[in-house]
Amino acid sequence: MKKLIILIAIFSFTKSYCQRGIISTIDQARAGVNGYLDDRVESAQTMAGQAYSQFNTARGLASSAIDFYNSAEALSNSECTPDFSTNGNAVMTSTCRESGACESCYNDAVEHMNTYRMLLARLNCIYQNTKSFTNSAVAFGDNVAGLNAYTGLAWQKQRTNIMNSFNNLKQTYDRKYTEFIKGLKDALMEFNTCENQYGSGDWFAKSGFIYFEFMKERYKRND
Amino acid sequence: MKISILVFFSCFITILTNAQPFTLNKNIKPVELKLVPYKAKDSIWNGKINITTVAQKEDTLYYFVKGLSIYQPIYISIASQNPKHKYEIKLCKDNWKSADRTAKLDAKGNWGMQFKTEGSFGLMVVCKEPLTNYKLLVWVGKELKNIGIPSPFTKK
Repeated sequence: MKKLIILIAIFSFTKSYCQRGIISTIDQARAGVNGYLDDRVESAQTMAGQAYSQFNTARGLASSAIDFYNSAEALSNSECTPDFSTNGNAVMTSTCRESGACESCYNDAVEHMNTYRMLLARLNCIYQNTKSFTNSAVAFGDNVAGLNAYTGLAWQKQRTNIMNSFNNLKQTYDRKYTEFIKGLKDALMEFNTCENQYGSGDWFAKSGFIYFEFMKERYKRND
Repeated sequence: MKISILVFFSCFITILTNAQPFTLNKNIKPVELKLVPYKAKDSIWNGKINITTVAQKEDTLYYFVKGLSIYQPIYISIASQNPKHKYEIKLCKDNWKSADRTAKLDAKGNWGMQFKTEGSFGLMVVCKEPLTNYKLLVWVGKELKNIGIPSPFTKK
């Protein structure tokens, strides 16, 4: 009996030791424990060692975070990235641009306009990326699910969830699209006010309208 | 009118986008690299960071980072404490099977790259050694409001 207990003890110890042996240790630095990542750059530097030095070297090559951002490529070649190009026919005119007096009025309107351009471009990319993810996941799942009945059943449940989530995205896209397009129009009307004050009258009807229609069409969901 | 693009989208994205590359393999259990606030000496580099120390005993470890905006710069680096060990590093977007970027460590045992992406990304670190140690750093900059987008105006 004593021998049996000893054998069981040895077996349990060996088993738990072996299990520990194959598990990796992953220690993430946490803010909030002592806040070292919030305020003390040196701590992050010491903790990350060479990994931090590489980061320093990489950012040293850029003159600013914007420069750093613009020199970076999208992770995936098939990933949607914001496209801010404008169709030649939709390019807008501006007399205000050349006048110093209207600079402040102009800058505010353009800033608002650009905010909505960025929002619309991002919205479109989220949609396109999710669509591509959904298609790829569904195609992959459909292929694998054919292999056995159990996987097939489990996959059908997941497939429904994925498709429901994508259908919800379509509704959200349409809601946000309406909101952002309205925001863009408001910004164009702001610009119109500036043009009426400092430049040519009726700017929106002559120039802004074509651009607005181009943007409406570009971001309208068509599937 | 002051709109934070990040705030605007934050709830929206968590619901709608995938948090990590897709898989049906239940043995793949990716570890989230949680980002914490980071204040740099020069504030233009403020953002969020994750620094992780790893002693890897499995053949492959899977990580993911979520909550990213396409308007944020991202930098990731690995510094091995065993420069002679061979690593295969894979960055994945949609699924773990087809990597979007693959890389190896340089002669000093280091690797780093910058990129941008929306939502999330996955990282696979493959090393056939029974034990290898490395530091992993992920930095994500602030969401940029001005990325120098082309003007839609022409001179009259």
